[in-house]
Amino acid sequence: MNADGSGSIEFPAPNVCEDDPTFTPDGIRIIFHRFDPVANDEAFWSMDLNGNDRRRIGPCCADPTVSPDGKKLSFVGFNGDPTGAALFTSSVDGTNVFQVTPFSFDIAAKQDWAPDGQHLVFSIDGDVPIPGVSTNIVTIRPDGTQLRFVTNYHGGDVNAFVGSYSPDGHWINFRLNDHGLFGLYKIHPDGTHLKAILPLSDFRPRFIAWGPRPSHADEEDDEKE
Amino acid sequence: MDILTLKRVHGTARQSSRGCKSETHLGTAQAAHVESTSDDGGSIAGERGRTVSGLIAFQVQTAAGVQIYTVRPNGNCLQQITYLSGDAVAQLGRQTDARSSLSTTRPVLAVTLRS
Repeated sequence: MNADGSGSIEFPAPNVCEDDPTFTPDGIRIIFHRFDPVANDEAFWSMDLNGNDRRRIGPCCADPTVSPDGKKLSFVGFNGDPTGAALFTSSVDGTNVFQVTPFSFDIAAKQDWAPDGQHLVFSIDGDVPIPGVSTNIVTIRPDGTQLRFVTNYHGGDVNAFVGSYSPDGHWINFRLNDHGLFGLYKIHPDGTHLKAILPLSDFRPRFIAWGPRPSHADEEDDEKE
Repeated sequence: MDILTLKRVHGTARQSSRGCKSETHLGTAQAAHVESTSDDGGSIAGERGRTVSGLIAFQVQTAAGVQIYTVRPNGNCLQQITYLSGDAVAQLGRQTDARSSLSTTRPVLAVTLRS
């Protein structure tokens, strides 16, 4: 549908769960998660923007995200333990699966690639709440090295759940859960310059994504933010 | 969170802030916050060779189900863009500037957004 919410087009798929859509960088296909309860088949698929030309990719689990160069997927996999969720990558065709983090990181479903493809960002200890343990935002290189905490909350009352990188790569946006209130925040990947976008309230943003500025943006949109 | 709470948090005044293409629910508390954050993005937006950052999109549980909102990175122009009777569970792709996608849970559908 249009950016203002009008003109939606529905892709009907009765009795099948299709979710977690994400665009390929060229914008011509959508990769999504699909679960068919009748066939008990769960996998990532791709389709064109009209819902046609559907192709099964292979790896299952959660939140497929295409790398900026369009060659890889990142996604979240589970080992069956209540707190066992890890970050994986694969080729965009589902081959060459690589486990980036251990399952003990128990990462939340939402994760993202840096625009230059050099890092991934995710939320550690974010899948299942553990009393006394805070969820924090972490970056890591796709080969599993250079783990870095962007936030450092402790005690479990304050938690940070990542949304995405900004298109220019200078910011990471996220939801801050602070003693039962929620805010939309942004922070530099090095952990500095924490700023509130929507201050703490009971308005709870989830699955946050940061889009590029449309090329047809009018002059007022080009104002400095 | 229901719409009444949203209005309480973000103010009830529907003002057309400079640069917004449509009315927003921006309230006084948030407007004050915008002043405190409006000084940090200019150099980034103008940097050569980088994609300029646009809107931030997210989903919120409302009394009418999960709906999608957008907001500018400076907190300005908060806007609800879906008003579905079911849940609109969204992930807007950052790779494309003119389209977005979401899925709903009625039962579960995929939708493309085109602008």
